Amino acid sequence: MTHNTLEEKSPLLPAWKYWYWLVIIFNVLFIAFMYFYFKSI
Amino acid sequence: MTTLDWIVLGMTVSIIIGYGIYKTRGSKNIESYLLGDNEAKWWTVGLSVMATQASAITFLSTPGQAYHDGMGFAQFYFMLPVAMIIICITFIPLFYKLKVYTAYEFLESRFDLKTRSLTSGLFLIQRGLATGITIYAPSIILSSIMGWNLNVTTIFIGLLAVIYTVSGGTKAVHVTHKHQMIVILTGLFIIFFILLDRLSNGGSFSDAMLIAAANQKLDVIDFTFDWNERYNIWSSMAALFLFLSYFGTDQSQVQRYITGRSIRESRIGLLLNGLMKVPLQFFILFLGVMVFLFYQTHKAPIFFNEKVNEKLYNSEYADIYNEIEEAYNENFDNKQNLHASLYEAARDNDHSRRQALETDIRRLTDIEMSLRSDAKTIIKQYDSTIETNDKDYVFVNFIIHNLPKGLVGLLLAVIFFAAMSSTASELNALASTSVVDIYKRNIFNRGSDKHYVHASKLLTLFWGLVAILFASVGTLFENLIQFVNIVGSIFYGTILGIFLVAFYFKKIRGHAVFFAGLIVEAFVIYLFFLDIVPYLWLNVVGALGVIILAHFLQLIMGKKNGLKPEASTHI
Repeated sequence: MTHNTLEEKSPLLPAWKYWYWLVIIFNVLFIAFMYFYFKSI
Repeated sequence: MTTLDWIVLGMTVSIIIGYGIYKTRGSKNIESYLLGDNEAKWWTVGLSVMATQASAITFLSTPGQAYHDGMGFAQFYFMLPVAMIIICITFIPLFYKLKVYTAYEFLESRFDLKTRSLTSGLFLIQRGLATGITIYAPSIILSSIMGWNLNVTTIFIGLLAVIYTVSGGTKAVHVTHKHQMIVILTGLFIIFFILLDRLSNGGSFSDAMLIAAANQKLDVIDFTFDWNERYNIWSSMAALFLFLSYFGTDQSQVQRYITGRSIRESRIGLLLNGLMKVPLQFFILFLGVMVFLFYQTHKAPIFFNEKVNEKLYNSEYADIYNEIEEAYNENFDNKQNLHASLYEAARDNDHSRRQALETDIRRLTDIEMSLRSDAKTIIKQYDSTIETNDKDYVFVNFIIHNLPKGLVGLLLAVIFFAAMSSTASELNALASTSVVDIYKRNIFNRGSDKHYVHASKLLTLFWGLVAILFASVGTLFENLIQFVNIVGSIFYGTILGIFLVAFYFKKIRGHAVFFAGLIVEAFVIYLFFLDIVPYLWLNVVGALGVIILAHFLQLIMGKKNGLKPEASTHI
């Protein structure tokens, strides 16, 4: 097996929790934008 | 289809599949064949996950769904990003820590062999049935609308997927997925710009959007709670369970991300899917709304499978069918006049007039729907075996009649690739589970690496032939797609419940979860026959049922059977 280790720290990248928030915030903003844009027509 | 279309279709399919086979030939060990040597980078993982989920029916049905019912189906995917995050946090680290080949292997390390075998068995039943549909569904639509032979289409799509999956295993699936997704996304963008161009010809794009709004095609979120309404904001919560099961416990998806180069690449790959899926689904649905708008200025056929229309024109029902069509055409002309008035009212900011016109437009749309329904009644009288739900034909009908030469071939390649990409992942997963969880673990564990590579190839071929066979007799079953979706919901909940217990309830042990799984599965099947719970909610009942019952059984059984420590897995 060549699975890599669980450790994956990189000084260039933010911690995982920020990536998760990015995904959530992007989707919430996208859905809200589409909802209000379509509603405004 | 013109010669140019055939050339484009043939070249696109043969180049991408030929390259996939050439690039991944000669896997000599099981790790290379089933895990692709853990070489996949994050974009390969992400595209492969997306290609696996997006079957041909996604591209054929979804725009047709928006054409008829608007954008509401988008709600179904709202919780998908949350599912991706839960899987990144909980599932992926455990799969990597135990270095598993299949998701079910983890269950033996956490519980025992019987729980692993039960869960992999449930997966094989469910996925084994569904793979045939992945091939059958686009074949029936394409053969019907293009006049191709159904069996030849089915065998062609199925056999191509079987050839490259058998040849290169997981690596071939990944290499072809990347290129297939690029062709699929390119094809969809081409259609978008063509539609945009055609809509602008009849008036401005914002004018067209007024008609979409008047026909309630742009209502994205439905906040009303209706148990029986399939798509509203509340049923999207139930869909979270479906996504957790599908992405977290279905080997056809798990195999896509445990083959990542590192845990990081797998996570970014899944998060890429979490970022792109909702916008992509909006985009595909919006294409359906644009097709609807196109047909507000260009007369749509009364029934979208035009081969059926031709049959009716030459039957004893021709007179009545023509009569309905005349009324339909007259209604279309009346609508045109209202559209012109609506643009005017919007430009003059005359709100009350606009509202009145919107009501009138909706009334005419209702008449249009009722005339379509009358046409379907006549079709059923002519031949009761004809499928009268023409939603799946809307998009492909538009493609065939309105795209320039050459592009029709490219778009048909998109549909073929979508079917093959899902089929290949499913065959790859079925073979992995059969070899790793059943054959090697329960039947014969002393073979060489080469032996298991051969076994994997043979089992990929076996499942491929089962899928093609099942797809070939698909016409024998009524409403097959719905049937397979229901079968999925019946098994997914229990499988997810077992995994959730494994991840989050450390005190529960093998016997308790095994018997809870068996009892809840029987209960879910019983509930299905009682027909009192909409099938999407069977996922919730299955998952929560296993968690609750396993707790209860653990209390009764006490601490007789020990929780295994972090044992290495058996494969």
